[in-house]
Formats: sequence, structure tokens, C-alpha cells
Amino acid sequence: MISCGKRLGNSELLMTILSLGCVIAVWELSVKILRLPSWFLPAPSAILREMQNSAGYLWSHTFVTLQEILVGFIVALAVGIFLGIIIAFSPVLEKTLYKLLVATQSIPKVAIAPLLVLWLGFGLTTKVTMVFLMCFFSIMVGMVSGLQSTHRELLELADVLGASWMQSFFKIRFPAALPYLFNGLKVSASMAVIGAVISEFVNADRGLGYSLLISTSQMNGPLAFSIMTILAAIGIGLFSIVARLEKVICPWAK
Amino acid sequence: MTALLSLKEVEKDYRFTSNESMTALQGINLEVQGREFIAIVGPSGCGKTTLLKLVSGLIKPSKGSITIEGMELQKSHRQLFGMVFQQPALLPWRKVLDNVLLPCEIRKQDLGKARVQAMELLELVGLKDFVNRKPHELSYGMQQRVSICRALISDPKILLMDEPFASLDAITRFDLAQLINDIWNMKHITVLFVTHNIQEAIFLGDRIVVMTPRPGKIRSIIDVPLTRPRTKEHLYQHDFSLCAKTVHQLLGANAL
Ligand SMILES: Nc1ncnc2c1ncn2[C@@H]1O[C@H](COP(=O)(O)OP(=O)(O)OP(=O)(O)O)[C@@H](O)[C@H]1O
Ligand SMILES: [Mg+2]
Repeated sequence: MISCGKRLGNSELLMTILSLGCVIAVWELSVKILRLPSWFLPAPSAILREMQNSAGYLWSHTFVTLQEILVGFIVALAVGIFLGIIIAFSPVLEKTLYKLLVATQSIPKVAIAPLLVLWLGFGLTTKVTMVFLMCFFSIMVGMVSGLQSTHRELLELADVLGASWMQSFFKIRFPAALPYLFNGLKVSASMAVIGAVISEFVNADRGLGYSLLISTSQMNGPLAFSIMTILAAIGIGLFSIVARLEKVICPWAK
Repeated sequence: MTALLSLKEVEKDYRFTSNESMTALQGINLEVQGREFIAIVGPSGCGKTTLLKLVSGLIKPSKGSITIEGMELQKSHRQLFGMVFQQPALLPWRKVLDNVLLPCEIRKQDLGKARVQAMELLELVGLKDFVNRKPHELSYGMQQRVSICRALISDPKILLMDEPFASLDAITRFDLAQLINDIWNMKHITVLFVTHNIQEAIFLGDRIVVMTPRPGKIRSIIDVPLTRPRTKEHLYQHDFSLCAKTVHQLLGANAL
């Protein structure tokens, strides 16, 4: 059974690699055959060359953006879990704060980005806040719904056993909510990158979003595509870390 | 002699948020002696689960009184109860042994001693080789066996079982019924056993409480005319079929 699962996993990975390879090959060939200018669509080989040539430049900007993403993500994690817990256990907060937060989610966050600059200035705080805003909501929702969907039987059991609030929280409710929390984390992992890029678009003098704007204004196709590749890699990397953690921490979740 | 468990004129009203209320149980009188096996049957929604919740102290009666050995039911009585639900309701992140130990952890009992007892119980239900497995690696029937062990750890006086076999196939179901029968023979605990299965009720019970729906009342309490210990042979006795017929008739149109 285990070997069957492994074989399936391997063949799935092989399929992914193969299809990705095909896309890249077709891309490379069509750029060559159609003689597309590099500002319009650079060939994968040109992108790779650019990444090697501008490695230092790219790394310094990657470092800035990565920092914004990680700090924002971790703050969102802490705040999301905290708010999720107090909302899940307080019917009053659920009717007031939770409803309010849900309502504010319909405001497009791109629209807040210029306001954040106004309120928080040009520095790191603004970008971290944007990443935070993009991430915390789905983390909080995951936490709330996880804590509220504990099996009724388990709660009754805890009650009959005379479990204290702390005991039923740490031994039953919180661990049972973890798969839901991880769902929220996976959603927010990809949102984090978007948040950082948006806020750098609005106002920045460094970071991948900023250098993306510069490179396109200079019609430097290979550089722009290098940056997008890195952004995608960050998103995929963050998601994979969360997914791996989920496998380790709650292997029972489907 | 005072009964182990006694319900007098117990009524339970549920209040809904719209301020309406509904009487789930009415005029329940029941005396259960120590080491008795009480099977409870009745149509869906007649308040069987409510009755068990009242007895365990999870909810309070709206009227009437519930006493344990003559004393008003209170929080300190909770350690007398073991509970088994329709779903195994195990903690998926804990291995089988640790699931069985959960009650002892919560009650802060001596875990060394409890572990020995847990191993004995798991051996009794045939899961000796699975103590270190996680619940999702077990079949549904095996998971329910684990939850029976969890209910039996720290020797409860009264075992409350709410349709524990309802989600099992017929063969597993009878296996587990025999297991409960063996456990009852060995431990001589008192059992309140809710079921929709009349055969099961007769096979296991000393008395069968037949209920009527809305508001839930006790229609009749039947003495099962079978000798102990119960074996498969009892299933083919004339008394068994007669008893089944009586229960069917009492359930009337609501019989399954
Ligand atoms: N928490 C609750 N709030 C309001 N009404 C409830 C609640 N729990 C049960 N009821 C009502 O009380 C009645 C009895 O419910 P109960 O669950 O005790 O029935 P039951 O005999 O166990 O049914 P089943 O065989 O389907 O499990 C039902 O009509 C149900 O709607
Ligand atoms: Mg029920």
C-alpha cells in the first residue's frame, strides 16, 4: 500500500516536471522561430542568463521583499490565531468584531495601499502591514472555524470527565482545529507575495516589486521575467513549507 | 434497598432561541439497580440521547429529580460514568493507547497504573497489537472498540452507551454485542444502552425500556425472560422471539 502511494507520488512528480519541460521547450522554440524581441517575451535561456548576470542585484532586492513577506506572515499568524481564539469563544465578539472584519474584507486591499503610505510612511512597516492585511484574515477564519467544529461527542466527553477549560482547549479543541488553521495558512501563503508586490508598486525604493517596475519601464524583458520567476518561487516555497509542516504536525488531515 | 440510579417524574424542556419551548421528556420514572443492564429503545427523536445526558449530568432536568444511591446527582458523581457514542470520537493525533488514557490524564490519575489497565482492556477487546497505531489506521469497528476501552478505563460504575453500534455492519455489530456481553459478565457494571435494534436490546438487556415519541415517555418496561450468561443459543429460543414480538407491538407503527 505504501509502495503504491510512493509510486503514485513519483509518477505525479514526473508528470509535473515533464509538462513544465514541455512548456519551457515550446516557449524557447517559439521565441526563436518567431524572432520575438526580448522586451516583449524573452526566451527562457535569456531569462536564465540574466539571472546569472544580475545575481547580486536580484539577491539584494529579493532579500528586502522576503523580509517583508516573512515578517508580515508571522505577525499575521500570531494575530490571526489570537483573534481566532477569542472570537471562537466569545459569542459577543463573534457578532461584533468578526462580522466587522468580514465586512471590511470586501474592501479591495489594493485600494488601501496608498492610504497605508499616508498613515505609516515609506518604510518597511507599510509593506509588512500590507502583507499582514492580505494574510491574517484567512488564518483567523481557519482558526475560528477549526475551534468551532470540534466533534460534539468530544466536548461532551470532556465535560463528563470534568475537564477544565485549559484541558479541553489544549488536549482537544486546539489540536483538532489545526487542519483548519493549515488550510488558512496555505491560502495566505500565496496572498503574502501579492501583498508585498502591491505595496512596493505603490511606493518603494527597493524590493522585487520596485525593481519589476523599473525593469519594465526600461523595457528590460529578461530582468522583468527573472523577477517574476523569483516571486513565483517565493510563493511556491512558502506554500511548500506550510504544506510540509502540515504533513508533519497533523498527518491525519486529508 | 436504595436503587443505584433513580429518576422520579423527570421532565426536560428544551427552550429555543425564539422563546418557544419543546418538551423532550415527560414523567420519566426509572429505578436501576447496581449491575443491571438496561436497554432503551424508541423511535427517533423520542429523547433517548436526552435521557442519557440527564443521567450523566451534562444537562439538568426541568422538573423531577435524579439520584445516585439516594443522593442528588452532582458534579462529583461524574467519575462514576463511562460514555460510548455512536461515533468512536477518538483523537486522531493520539495513538490508540494514549486515546484510552485520555480520561486518566484529564482526571490527573496515576498514569503508570492506568497504562497497565489500558493494556489489559485493549487486550480484552482484541487490539493488543494495535496499541501504538493511530486511529485512522484502524477500521471503524476497531475504533469503536478503542472508545469502549476509553469508557472502561478507571472502572466506571455506570456505562452510558448511545447507539454505539449504529454505524457498524451486522457482523461487526454482533461481535461487539458479544464483547459488551462478556465485559458485563466480567466487570458487573451497570449499563444504560440505547439502541434501535430490538434483537440487540433483548440479547444484552435485563430490562428493556420502550419509549414513545413527543413528548418522550416511558411506554413500558419489559423484563427479558432469558437466563444469564447469554449466548448465541438464546437468539433461537422461543422466549427470545416472544419478547421481540412484545417489543415490536409496544413500538407499534414506529417499529423499525
Ligand atoms: N440541544 C437541543 N436543543 C433543542 N432541542 C433539542 C436539543 N437536543 C435535542 N432536542 C430535541 O429533543 C428531542 C429528543 O432528542 P434526542 O436527541 O434526545 O432524541 P433521540 O431519541 O436520541 O433520537 P435519535 O434516535 O434520532 O438519536 C428531539 O425532538 C430534538 O429535536
Ligand atoms: Mg440519539
